[in-house]
Amino acid sequence: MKKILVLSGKGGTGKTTITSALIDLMDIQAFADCDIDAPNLHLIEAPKKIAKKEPFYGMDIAKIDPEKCIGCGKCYDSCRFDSIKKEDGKCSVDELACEGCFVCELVCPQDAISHVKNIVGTTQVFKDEKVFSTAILNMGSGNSGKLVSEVKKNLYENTDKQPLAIIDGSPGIGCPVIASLSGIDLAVLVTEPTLSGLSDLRRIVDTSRTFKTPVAIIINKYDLNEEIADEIRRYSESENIPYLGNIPYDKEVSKAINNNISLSKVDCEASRAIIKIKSRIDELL
Amino acid sequence: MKIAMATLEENMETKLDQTFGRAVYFLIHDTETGENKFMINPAKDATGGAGIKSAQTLVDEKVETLIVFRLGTNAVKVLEGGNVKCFRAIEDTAEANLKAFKEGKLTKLEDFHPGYHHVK
Amino acid sequence: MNIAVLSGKGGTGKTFISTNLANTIPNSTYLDCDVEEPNGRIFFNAKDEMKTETVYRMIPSIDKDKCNGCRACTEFCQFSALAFFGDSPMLFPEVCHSCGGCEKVCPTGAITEVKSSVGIVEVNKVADLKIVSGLLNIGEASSIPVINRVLSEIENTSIIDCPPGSACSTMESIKKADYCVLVTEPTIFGLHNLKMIVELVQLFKIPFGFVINKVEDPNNTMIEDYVKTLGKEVLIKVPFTKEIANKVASGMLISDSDSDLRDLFKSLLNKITEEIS
Repeated sequence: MKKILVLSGKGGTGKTTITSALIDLMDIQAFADCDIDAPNLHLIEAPKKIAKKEPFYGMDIAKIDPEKCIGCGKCYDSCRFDSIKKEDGKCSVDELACEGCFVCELVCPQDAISHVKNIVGTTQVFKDEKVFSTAILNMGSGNSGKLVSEVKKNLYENTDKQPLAIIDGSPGIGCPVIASLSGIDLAVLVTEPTLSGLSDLRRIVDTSRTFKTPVAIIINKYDLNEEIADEIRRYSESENIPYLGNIPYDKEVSKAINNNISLSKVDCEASRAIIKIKSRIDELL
Repeated sequence: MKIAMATLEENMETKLDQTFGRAVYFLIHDTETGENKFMINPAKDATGGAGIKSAQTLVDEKVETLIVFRLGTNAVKVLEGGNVKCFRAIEDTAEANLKAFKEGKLTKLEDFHPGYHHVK
Repeated sequence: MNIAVLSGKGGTGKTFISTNLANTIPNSTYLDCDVEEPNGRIFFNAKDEMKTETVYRMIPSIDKDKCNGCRACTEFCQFSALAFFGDSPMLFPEVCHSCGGCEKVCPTGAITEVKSSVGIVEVNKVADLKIVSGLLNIGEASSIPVINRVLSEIENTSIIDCPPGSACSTMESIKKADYCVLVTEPTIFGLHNLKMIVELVQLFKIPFGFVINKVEDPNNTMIEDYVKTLGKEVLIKVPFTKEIANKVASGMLISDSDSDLRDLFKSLLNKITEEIS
C-alpha cells in the first residue's frame, strides 16, 4: 500500500480541504487524520461506523499522598518542569505539566509519591467500505509523537488490499510531524503565497529530507500574491522538488467546507485545479 | 547462539512485525537448546526511546543475531554496542525466517532510518 | 498588561492580529512564542539587532573512569535516553528530557550535567517597539525552554503570539497572560478548533475574548452564534479582501497603510482594557 502524507509547515494553508478532495478524486479507501492537536478531517469525510475507540496513555504521572506529605518541598526543589505546587503546607502535582520523570518520587523522604496511569487522548477507527483512523490529544498534553504512530498503526492494521492511503498531517515541524513521516512514500506540501508560508515551507522541506521522504509542492490560493507564488515556484525548481500545481483562491471552497462537503463534489475553479493536481500525483506515484 | 525476531504473535507460524521499537513480542530462539522463547517487549508502549529500550532488552538477553525489517539509527547504536548482528527479514513466518537464516539465505541489514520521534 | 493571541486552528491570523496590535500600541513588546515556525519578525523590518542568545537545556555527561557499571542511571531513566553495554552507559540526547534524575541516582558522581543548545532567541527594536523571536532547532523535541526564554523578555504592554493548537507549547505560552484573544475564521474547521482553546483558557481562568478574521459573508454567523452561547460578544471582526491578503502575504503591516484597520486594532486594545478593569 502506497502512503501519501499531506503537510504544510505553516498552518491554515489548506491541508484538510485538499486531503478530503483527493480522497474522493483518487478513490482512496484508507485515510487518517494525524493532526491530533486539532483534527478536522472527520468534519468532511463523515465516518459512520466506529470500529474501535480507545483511550491513549501518556507517561505515568506523579501523585502525592496528602496524608504522608510533610510539605518539605524537596520534590518542588528538584522538579524541572514546574509541576509541583506548594499550598497550605502540602505539595501537589500539576497533572498537565508533569512529564513523568520520577525524580520527585526518588527524592521524597516520606515515600509520599507514586506514579499512576494517565490518559492523554483517544484513538478512533471508523470502518465501513473505507477505513478512517483518527485521534484527539487532550489539551495541554505533550506526548504527540506516539499518538500519531498509534493512528497510523490503527490505519494499517485495518487495511487489507487498498493500494493507496492518505494521511492529513499537522502544521509545524515538531513531534507529530516527525512521527507522521515514517514509512511515507510521498509528502505533499501545501503552501500559500506568503512570506510566512515560504519561510515555513523551507523548514518543512528540511525536516522531510532529514527522513529521506520524497516531497512535492502545491501552492494554494496562489493568486493572493502571484509574485510570491512565483518565488515559491523558483524555490521548488532550484531544489529539484516536483511542482504539482497551484489552486486559485475561490469563495466556493469555504462555502463547500462549511456545508461539510468535499471539494470533489463541487465544480469550481479550485476543484478543477485539484483534478489536474491529482493526475500529477498519479504520475509521481 | 540466540537469534531474535520481532513478532506479531507468540507462535512460530506468526508473521514478523514490520517495526522494531514498539513490536509487541520478541521471539528468542536458542540454537544450542532448540528452545523458542516469546517475551513481551517492555518498550511496546513507550512514548519515546522505544528503539533504544527494545535494543537494550535484546542486548541484556545476550542475543547475538536479530532478524528484522527495519531499524532506526538509535536502536542500531545499541545493537552494535552489544555486538548484535542484524539481518533483513523476509515476508514469511518466524519459522521460515529462522530456516532461511540457518541456510545462509538472509542478507545483512545495512540501511537504517533516523529515529522517528526525535532527531539531532 | 500581557495579551496572548491564540487560535486552535492554524492559519486563522494569530500573527496578523498580534503584529498589528503591537504596532498600534506605543512602547509595546511583541513576543513570538511559535518557536517551531516563527513568522512575526517578517513583518517588522528590524535592522538594529539588540541581541541573539542561544537557549540551552542540561543533559548528562558520563565520566567513564568514575562509572562502576551499576546501571542505576539506565534503570532509572523513564525515557530510555541511556543504554548500557560494555562497561558504561551511552546517552541518546534527543530523547533526554533533562530531568536531572540520572545525576541524582549515580552513586559515584560519574554523571554531571552539561549544556545542550535547543534554539535561539533574538531581540530587536524598531522605533519604540521591542520584538522578541524564538526559534527552535530543527528536530528538537521540546519548545518549552525557548518559549520560556522568550517570555522572560516581557516588558510594558506585551503581545504574545502563541503556537497553534492547545498542546503543551500553547499552554506554556499563555501562563503569563492577563488576557487571551482567541482568533478564528468563519469556517467549521475554525469553529471546531476554537472550542478546544476556550476549554484551555477557562481551565487557566484567564479572561478571554474573540476576534473573527477573514470575514467575507455577512450571512455567515456561525462564530457569533457560538460566542453568544458563552454570554459574550465578539471583540472585532476583520474583513477578508484580496487586497489585504496580498499585502499581508508580502509581509506588510496593514495597520501602517490602512487607517480603518489601524483604528480597528486600536479599538481592540480599548475593548480589552475595558474588560480587564
